[in-house]
Amino acid sequence: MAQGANGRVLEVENLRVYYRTAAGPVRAVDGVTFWINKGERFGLVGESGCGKTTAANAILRLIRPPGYVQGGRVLLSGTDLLGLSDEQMRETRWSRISLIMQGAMNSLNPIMRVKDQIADAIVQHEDQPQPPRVLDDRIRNLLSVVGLPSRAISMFPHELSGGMKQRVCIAMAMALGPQLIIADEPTSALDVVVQRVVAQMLVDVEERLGASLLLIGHDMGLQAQLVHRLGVMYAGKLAEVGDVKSMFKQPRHPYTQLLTSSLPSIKRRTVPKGIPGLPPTLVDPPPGCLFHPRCPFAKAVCREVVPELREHEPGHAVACHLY
Amino acid sequence: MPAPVIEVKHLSKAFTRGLVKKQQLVALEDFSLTISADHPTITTIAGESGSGKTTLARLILGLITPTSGQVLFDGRDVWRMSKDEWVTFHKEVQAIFQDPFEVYNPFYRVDHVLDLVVDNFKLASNGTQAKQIIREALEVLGLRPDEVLGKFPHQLSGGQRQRVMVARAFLPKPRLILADEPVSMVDASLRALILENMLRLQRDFGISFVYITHDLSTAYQISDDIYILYLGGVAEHGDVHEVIQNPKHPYTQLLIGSVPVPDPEVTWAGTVDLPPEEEVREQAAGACKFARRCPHVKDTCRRNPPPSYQVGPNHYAACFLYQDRPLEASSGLRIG
Repeated sequence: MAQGANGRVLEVENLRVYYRTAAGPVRAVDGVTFWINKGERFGLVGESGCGKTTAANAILRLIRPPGYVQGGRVLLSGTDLLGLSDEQMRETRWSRISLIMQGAMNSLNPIMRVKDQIADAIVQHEDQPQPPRVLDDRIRNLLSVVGLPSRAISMFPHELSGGMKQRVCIAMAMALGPQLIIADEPTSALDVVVQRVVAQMLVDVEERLGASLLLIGHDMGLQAQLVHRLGVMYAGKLAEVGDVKSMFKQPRHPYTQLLTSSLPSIKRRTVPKGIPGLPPTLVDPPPGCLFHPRCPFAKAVCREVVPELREHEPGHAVACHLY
Repeated sequence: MPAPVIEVKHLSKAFTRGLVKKQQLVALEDFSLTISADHPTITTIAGESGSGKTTLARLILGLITPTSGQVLFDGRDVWRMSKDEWVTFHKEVQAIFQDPFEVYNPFYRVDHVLDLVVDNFKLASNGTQAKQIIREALEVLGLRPDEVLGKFPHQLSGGQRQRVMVARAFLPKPRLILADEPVSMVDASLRALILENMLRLQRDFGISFVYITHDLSTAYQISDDIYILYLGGVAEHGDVHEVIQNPKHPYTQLLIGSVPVPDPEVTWAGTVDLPPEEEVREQAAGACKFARRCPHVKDTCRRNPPPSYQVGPNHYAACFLYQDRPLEASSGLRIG
């Protein structure tokens, strides 16, 4: 399928997702703009509660009350997903965008064999019914792509290890050849060696399909290993977006700087300093830059004016008054 | 020399499953460890899921009985203690667990878990004194008592909940705290705070830690010694700097090579293959447990379990690659 005129598979423009609460709306995602090019792997990082998962759910139109999309656009190859009917969106999901959830392995149906679960996803989203044998071959092929033995096809989820279950979910996510795979903390429940195998598998699958990947997570190490471009979210807004190498080598936003300098590493034997303070409450956010109460460089302007996300140099944008 | 705080001697634990056709699953095999009373230390037990690290924690705490071997507290076998000794043991050896939410009863205020400790171990003679020592303990951990006391568990952040748990463990001023994955459920910045708390308790209050984790980076940052467990056996152990920077066992090398480095310029080298788990467990009997996955596997590895060889001043690896080195003193006993 064609991508948008500018070669972008996904464009998110000024996306705002709020949650209704008794104390007023919680601005979980507040004016987020980014795009993903064809074949690109884009990462979204931030502390828990920064809105990264909410943003992913909004892209898939999976926001449930009390959450609601307050505004913005989500373009998939030029089509605004927020304007589609529920039926059209249902068809889009899985066939054009697929999702690998956090702990997706626990979302497998415990009383269905692997084969039937994958077949279910295919049959539900494809118009033409397929003869069982063709379907069987396709599933076997999918499983071999993710490195599972063909006997896994007739196994139940409890017979598989965590890493194997997560690979079944990857196989399901690629079954219909989507343009975009959204992976939300796809390996956070796995052991380190298994994590590496699954992460490499995910990249392999993405490249094979020629798809794009939106990788959501808090593990900067994993992002560094996997993505091309990286966005850092703080309190519902994007603080900085750029090429992954320059994000790690020369982070501009003080939050990104603190984040990258507080990373645990097996190269360094000191306990990294955490970032002092806590993220703001999103019901009653502070005026100005949301990071100013924790920022070591906060100036008067930071307490008053919300900084815009602006391109600081080609391919690297930052929302900070220092620049 | 005083008796070690905890001495674990050749500890094994096998779980049996099945009613008719009984199957044994060896969760921990011949594990030994000494936590010296001379100076406070942080010892890491690292391993992936299924390596037996939580079984070890439960054995040390006396929550389950070993199949063979002993756990000695202050020189006394924890399973042959008098009632008074057992109370002392549980006062002096405290624990912190992974999920700070599960420990709380959601219907009680946070104070409840702290009051219980004060009551159980008779730490205070009256209510005012009880309040006082609870406030002091919270302050040591950098919590403001007024922000925490009187709240319900759901009103605290994950980081606060976990630090209250550290405060709870610290209240009876134990000699050892066993921390089972204490930071795996909190954010990076809070993780740093909790690790700092642990270091502070070690430095200022002379408390030793057994730190159980799957995360080698934090283990490297805070511990003195490390044990790498694989399928219930010790693959490698010794000084943490030696083990992390100069790993000898192929399994440790694989583990360390798989930690994603937060630097896009340093990428994972090569690919790894994961054999099906049941195969790994099956062939482990009477052989090196890692043989099926080992890139350096030799014939010997498939026929004999490797003993532990000394590969450095305080560095030991259970691998035949080092069979020209001396055997580790205590493991020499079991070579048939």
